[in-house]
Amino acid sequence: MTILLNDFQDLTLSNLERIAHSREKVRFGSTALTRLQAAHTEFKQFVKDNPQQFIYGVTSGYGPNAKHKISAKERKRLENLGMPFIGLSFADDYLPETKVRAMVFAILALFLRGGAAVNKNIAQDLAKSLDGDMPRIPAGGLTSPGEILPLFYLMRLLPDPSDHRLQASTGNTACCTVGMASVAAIETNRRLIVAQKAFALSYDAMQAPLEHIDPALKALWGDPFEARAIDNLSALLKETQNDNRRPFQAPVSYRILPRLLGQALRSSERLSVTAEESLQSMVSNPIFFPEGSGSKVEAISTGGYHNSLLPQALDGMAMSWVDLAEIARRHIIKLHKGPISRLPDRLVRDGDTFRTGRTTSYIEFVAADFIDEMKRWAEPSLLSPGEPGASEQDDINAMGYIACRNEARVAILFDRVMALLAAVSSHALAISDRAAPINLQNFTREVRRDFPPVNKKRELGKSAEKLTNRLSTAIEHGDSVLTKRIV
Amino acid sequence: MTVTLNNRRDFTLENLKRVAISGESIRISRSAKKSMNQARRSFMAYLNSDRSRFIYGTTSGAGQHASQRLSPKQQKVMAQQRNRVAPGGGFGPDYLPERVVRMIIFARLTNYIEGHAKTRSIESERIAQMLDNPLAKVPLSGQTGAGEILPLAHVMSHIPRGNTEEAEPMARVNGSPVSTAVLCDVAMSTQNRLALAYQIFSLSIEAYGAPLAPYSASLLRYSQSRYEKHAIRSLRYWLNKAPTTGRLSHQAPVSWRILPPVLAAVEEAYSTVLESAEISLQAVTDNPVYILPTSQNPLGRVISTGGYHNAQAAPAIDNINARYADLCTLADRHTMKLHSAEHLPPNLAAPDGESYGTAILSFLQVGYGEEARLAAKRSFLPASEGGGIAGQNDVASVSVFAYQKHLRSAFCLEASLALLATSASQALWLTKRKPAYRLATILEQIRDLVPPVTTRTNRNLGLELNSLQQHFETNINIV
Repeated sequence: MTILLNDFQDLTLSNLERIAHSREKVRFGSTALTRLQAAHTEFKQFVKDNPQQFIYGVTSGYGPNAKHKISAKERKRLENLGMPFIGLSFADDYLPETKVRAMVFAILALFLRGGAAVNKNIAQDLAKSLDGDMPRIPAGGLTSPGEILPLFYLMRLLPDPSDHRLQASTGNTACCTVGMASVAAIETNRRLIVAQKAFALSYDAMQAPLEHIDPALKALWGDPFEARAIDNLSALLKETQNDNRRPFQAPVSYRILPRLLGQALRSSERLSVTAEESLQSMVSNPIFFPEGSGSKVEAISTGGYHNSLLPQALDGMAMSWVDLAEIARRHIIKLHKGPISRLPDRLVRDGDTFRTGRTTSYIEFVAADFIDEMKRWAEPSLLSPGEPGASEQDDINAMGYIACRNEARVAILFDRVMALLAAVSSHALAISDRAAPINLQNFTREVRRDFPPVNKKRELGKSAEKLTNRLSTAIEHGDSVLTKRIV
Repeated sequence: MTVTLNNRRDFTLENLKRVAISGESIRISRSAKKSMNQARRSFMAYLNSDRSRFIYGTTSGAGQHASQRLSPKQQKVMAQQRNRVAPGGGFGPDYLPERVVRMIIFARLTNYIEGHAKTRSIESERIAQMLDNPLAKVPLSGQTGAGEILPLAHVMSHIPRGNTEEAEPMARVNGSPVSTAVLCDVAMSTQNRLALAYQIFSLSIEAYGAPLAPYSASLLRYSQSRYEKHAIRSLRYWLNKAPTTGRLSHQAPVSWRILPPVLAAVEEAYSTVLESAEISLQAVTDNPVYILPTSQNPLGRVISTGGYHNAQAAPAIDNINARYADLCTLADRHTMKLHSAEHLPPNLAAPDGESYGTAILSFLQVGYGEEARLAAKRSFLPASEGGGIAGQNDVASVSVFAYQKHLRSAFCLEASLALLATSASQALWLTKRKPAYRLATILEQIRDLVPPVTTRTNRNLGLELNSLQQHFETNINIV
């Protein structure tokens, strides 16, 4: 299928995923092309009629040379020189192609609304570039004022300069942040589905009283996200046995689960909403408001290349991953503590001893390392107080790339903790000869494909690694029973 | 004046403000007392129908003793013996502001007002009475434990004397009113602190002569984000009718152009903390909580919950702290640029004054920014299971810890804004310019406390700047 972009309402996370992940084609529709060309023509006339007006990079130099006016002749000369840098960044890895494609989609989003005033052929050429391979962008050294460092690579997708090049901007926008954060938003929704299933399995393995997720709490707490968490956990635990559960309240780490999952759901929704709104509000520097845009006709300098809302949303998500991981660690430990869990101590079958290796005992140690690392990556991506460059102009870095990179790392580590939680919970159910609740049976079956209950000594780290990879892949692709919606 | 409480709908920020800031008392309405006493009767019938049933802290021990069942006699004796809350064990050099302690007392009543605390109405009146007596001093340190028993012990140790019956001692110290209080305080003060930030940054825009294009109404109509719209609208309000001549002919540095997106993130953080405060104020968070009778459960029922853990508070407060740190960074950059711009007097020095002018203001920004960034560190759930003896209380709440950092963060932002305000005032004075007319009042206040500087000899600039920061603080916390 080819996606047609006509209106800003076509700039959805769903379309971004089809293009970035499923590699579907994208083109500007006829309505959009007419609008783009009109804006481009109008912009050229605007520049001609207002040669003295400051339009960054059009009637002025770039960066430190912004204070210098340039003539039309000088502009053409500079355009013919092309981009002065081919690529400046380097790292030990490259950005995944999905994320690069998402960045390109974000630039298309900028073009679609006409503010960049690009020639329609340039816009369509960039859309067509998504039919092929993307440039490889080093996954490091990408933070700068605005997002020019990744743009040096993305600009390779545009055709050579020519006379029709005059435009407000070819992409001096927050495309890197918006593209990468949009991918994160999509994956976050799935990651949270997996997490809720793993926690529900742990809840059942512990036989925590169902009153901790009683639907009456929804009205008492009054929070829509906590209510959703209660609904989700209740759905996952549907038809679980109500008899023989713990006769007294479960540890705090179980009782507060709906409240922490509620906070994670809030963070997730904020990330999705912010990503989609950002896609639909891409601003460049400069930006042109043509006739009929609902504003007066003007070309203005902005800070549109700096998105502060998405780093905040990503930071919030990263914090939720850490807090949920910390709760998971408690669960994993508690499940192994017989006097607390009322399960066989150390999750060893009756009559057996942990020395036989037929247990998940000692795997509870493993999570601490991951969580410690998560905490280091999940500190907020604050504006850096350091002046990043030699230019008086470019004095503050945009933190979007750093926030995206950090959240992605936290999320991968979180998958490892979820794999441990799911595996231990599954093992706990197996040794107590209990089946998972009906809505968790498919999930449990998938978990056991990589991490079967431990009936004989084996390298459990390998099993946990395989399960982690399965979870991460399911979250990335979204086509697995692991990530199937809960309700 | 007295705030009358009828039901949960009366737990509003407006009423909280009357109690906490204006010092009003609370009256429990007759209908509320009736509801509570009715709920108490049905709860007692529920309890008496089966005293072997698990009701945390009533038929069982508390905390690590949760698994121990008590005989009916023991249940009665325990309730009677615990008629006093022992003072909390936390200690340290700093204390919760008194207004926050009043907020805790106000928020404490949410669980009670409709009968979910399962107590007699006299208990709610005792709590309300605490507002009219000397308040507890609650240390800021040492309050990170499971639930909110640690800070509540300090507050509730001041409850007027009186007998207690089954379930009443536990209701006094369970739930999460402390999180609610700190959320409310952060929400209310952030609203005012943000309003101040808009004024000072607008003054900085004027002082630098930065072009007004980045705050254009065109962007207001273009953005799909209500936070960005709000930020642009607020800047435009203060910059209304700002002079269009004499401004920089090319774009200002990034730190001026990105004010709308950076302030938009503060707006969003504020919106989140406000929403969480309002939700928390009306939330029933007791453990165990009494679910009022229905046709299906004519005696009601009691369930154990995790209500005492407010999971929204620390992340929401952390976000505010992070954004304050960002504003400090922008204020630092603006202060530096005002002192080094080609189009302004070097060091903002007066022609007949010392050549280094007010450059010290730029030096000073560094320390406050660093402190603000330290205060912006995340309040993750602690890895320690301290207090989780026998596996029960295994996760601590970090709301007060986040708030403790917030107080530092707020001071740093006010200090940083005071430095920027003084720099902007100096730049406008030296270049004999007036800012947009709505900024005249704040400029006058700044100059009253820190007059423009010709020479620093015989002036204690530190004291003057401190008085400006305190002026900001006072206005933020009393409005």
